[in-house]
Amino acid sequence: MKTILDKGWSPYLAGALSGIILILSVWFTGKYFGASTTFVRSAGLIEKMLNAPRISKMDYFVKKVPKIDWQWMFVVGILIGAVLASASSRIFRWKALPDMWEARFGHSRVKRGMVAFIGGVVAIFGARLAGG
Amino acid sequence: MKEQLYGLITGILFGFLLQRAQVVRYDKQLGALRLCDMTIVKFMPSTILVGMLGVYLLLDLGLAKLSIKATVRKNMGSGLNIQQGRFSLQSQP
Repeated sequence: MKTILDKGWSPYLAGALSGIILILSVWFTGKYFGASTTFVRSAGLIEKMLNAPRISKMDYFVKKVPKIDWQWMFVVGILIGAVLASASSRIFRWKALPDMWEARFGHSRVKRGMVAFIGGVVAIFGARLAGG
Repeated sequence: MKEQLYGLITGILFGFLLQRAQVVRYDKQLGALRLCDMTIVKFMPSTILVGMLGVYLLLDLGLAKLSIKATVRKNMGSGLNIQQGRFSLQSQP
């Protein structure tokens, strides 16, 4: 039974169920799934604590107001939902290095952290440049 | 406040499914980029296909609005123009 659980659900089934959640979301709240604007708003929220007048004058943050909105909570929810899923199927564990990475690039956590950070910068820049 | 609550609930459900299908895992993400694990490639179109059917039904019933990016519309327009140009060139005798 444990091995079946470890394989997880069929991606077709989980994907289709996600589609149904998307439909219900559009129906009841008019919201489509997205995540990247949340990172921008969060950056704005942090900067607002340090230099509020600057944020209120920046065109970008006038348009993308730094606030906790539907999508912000959606992103937080994804994290909670994922933890619930892994905890309920007893596969939750802390891990600094993914196996695939470790096999290819070794045991350095610093190296992994740096590459992940650079990857994150490239990914979010691309996502925002494309507008979503 | 209600909007934020809906966001949280929707996120929890979506996150649960992402984890249960294992598509949030590093190995699956990198596996997809390296073309050696098709889990995500199976997951995403399933979501898009089901979502598309439902959203278009809601659209036809007047219950939903599409949120199309300005850039997408522009790019689609120029894409169609190019296609049309090609077509008219090809259909010249």
